[in-house]
Amino acid sequence: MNALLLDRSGFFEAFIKSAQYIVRLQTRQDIWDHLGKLIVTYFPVSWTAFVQRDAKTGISIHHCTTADEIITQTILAEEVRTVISDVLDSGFLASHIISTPKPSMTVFLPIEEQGQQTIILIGHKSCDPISKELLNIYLAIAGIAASTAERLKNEVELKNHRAHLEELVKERTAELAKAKRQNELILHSVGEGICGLDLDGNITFVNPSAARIFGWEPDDLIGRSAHAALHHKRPDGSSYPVEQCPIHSAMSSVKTAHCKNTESVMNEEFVRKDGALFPVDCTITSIVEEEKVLGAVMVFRDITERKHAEEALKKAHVELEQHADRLGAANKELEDFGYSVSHDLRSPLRAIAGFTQMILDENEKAFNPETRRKFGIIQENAQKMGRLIDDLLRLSRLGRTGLSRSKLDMGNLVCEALDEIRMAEPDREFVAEIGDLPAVHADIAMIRQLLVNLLSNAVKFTRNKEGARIEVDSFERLGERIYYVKDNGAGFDMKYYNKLFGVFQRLVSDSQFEGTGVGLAIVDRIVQRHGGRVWAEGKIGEGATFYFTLPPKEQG
Amino acid sequence: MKEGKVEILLIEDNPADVELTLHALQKRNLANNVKVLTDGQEALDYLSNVCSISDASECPYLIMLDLKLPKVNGLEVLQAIRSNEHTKMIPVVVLTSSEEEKDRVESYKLGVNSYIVKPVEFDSFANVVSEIGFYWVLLNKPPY
Repeated sequence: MNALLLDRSGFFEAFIKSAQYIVRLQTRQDIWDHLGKLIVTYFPVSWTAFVQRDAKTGISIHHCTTADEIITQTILAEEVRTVISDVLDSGFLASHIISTPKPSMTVFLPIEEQGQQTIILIGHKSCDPISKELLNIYLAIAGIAASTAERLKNEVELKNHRAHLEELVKERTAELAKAKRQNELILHSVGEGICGLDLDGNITFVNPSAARIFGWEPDDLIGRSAHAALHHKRPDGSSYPVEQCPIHSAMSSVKTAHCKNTESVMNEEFVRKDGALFPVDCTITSIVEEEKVLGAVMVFRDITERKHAEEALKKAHVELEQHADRLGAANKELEDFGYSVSHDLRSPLRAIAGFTQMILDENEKAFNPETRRKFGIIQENAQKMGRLIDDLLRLSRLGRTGLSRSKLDMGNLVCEALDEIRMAEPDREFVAEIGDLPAVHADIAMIRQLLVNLLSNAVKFTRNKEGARIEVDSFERLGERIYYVKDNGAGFDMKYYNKLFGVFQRLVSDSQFEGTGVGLAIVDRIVQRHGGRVWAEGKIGEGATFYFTLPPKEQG
Repeated sequence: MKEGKVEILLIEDNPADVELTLHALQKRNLANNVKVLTDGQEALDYLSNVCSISDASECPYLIMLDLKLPKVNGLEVLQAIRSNEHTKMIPVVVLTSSEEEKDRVESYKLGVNSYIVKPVEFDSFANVVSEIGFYWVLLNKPPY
């Protein structure tokens, strides 16, 4: 029968065509359908069935050329299932006679697919053994089925892959569009003018700020030479040669051309649409790709206002310098004056005092007591004038000499000052109480002077007091250390407080308490020089307290 | 002591101060061998005449130097004295009215032996001057 089958003219050709058709089918279901029909049509076969392993039921029938329930029941019967399982496991073709109910030779043809195995059950019309040629044809059919299924699967994967790619491209396109929008937004919002230039120096892009600064519409500028449009003349009105243009040089150089508007060299100014020039702070950067200059980006800013501010600042600076010069000259004059005073004012006093003394010495017996008293007054006044000059010089030196700060033991300095005062007036009796005096960071010479002045004042004004007492102490208030010198002496009237620290200002007469009226002015100046404050409290007949602060560093 | 030898060279332009100084030195009998010169240039000329390496015997024992002088001021005189091989060892006492720190510091930098501020009060002045004279002329041993 098989030989007959193959011999039939035209029959083979038809089979091949049918098989070629199957190869082009697009769904698995179609493949199984046509394959089953092909086998039934061209071979002595009464039915075909496609079975697969099923996780739930073990074996399931996917496609059957017959609706005969007996056949499907037979396939699912235990006996046949065992054969199907064996073929599925081994992958080898098998043939058995099964009853449906008529006994028939049935071929179990495995189709190898990746990840899935299908068996075609081919139920023959008789129980005749299957010829070798037919088995080979069946194997070829299995091969066709397998490769077609494989192709189908690949096609599906390819389709999925393509869809995925398309999705990706869509996402990236959206991202790019967003980035582009963002870039555009930045370019449009930024205050600096930004122009894109091509290799010939023609404008390819203008952001709104650039257009606004230049007074042109962006479209009017695009395509024009940047130099010709914006940079063609100098501040003096003469034309600016294109060879000297920094925009141009950026084109030929890979380097960045900076045309910072400094008055010394470049003094770059751009031209507005109306022809007016304005100073710019401009950076031109070449756009380089793979060592090739493609064009340039010009970023610039109108610095007219900054220029004005700079000029105003410069003017103010010059004025300040002139002022400082005048001040310096005045200071120098003052210094020279102090120096002269120091030398010249004291000599005549010495002569007055000295020659008076010589007269007295040489004519001891010639003068009566009254004349001698008057000579004494001359001498006293000469000496007083000397002290006055010394104090004034001290005051003037305070303003001239620099402050040299070091850590000072205040307690020690107070003791030294008191010793000095006691030495000058060994007969004076007073009690000095020295409290807690933390160290200060100050100029030692000045602080010595300050303490001597305050303490000698206290000693002087307690002269007529029984139980004279001087207290030196300190306390802290609002984080500030306050030192004070307190006495129970003559005191002063707060009504005249504003005169207390003035130069040559005295609240008592010389006949009561001698003095030059400079001592407290010196105290005031010393504390000021240290950036501190000095103030006082007093009451007539009850005493005075002088407070001062010495901040570690000058404030303000 | 050689008769007529200049023991003290007083360089001072103020005649009153000269007289007071001499008066003070008189107390110690030192006024007779004092040479008074009133300007700086004059003083330098004088010193270059009397002092030489071969004979230092004419060099004064002490120079009393005022700082405020016509033509060549005291500091310049001091500098010239100290930089001259023949005069650099002569004891120099600056006797001045100036309490200015720069004068004081500069004098010591130039190698002064002593810096005295003249007191206004005559007794103090007289004491200071006579003490200086006594110390440098009678007590101190000169280098030559």
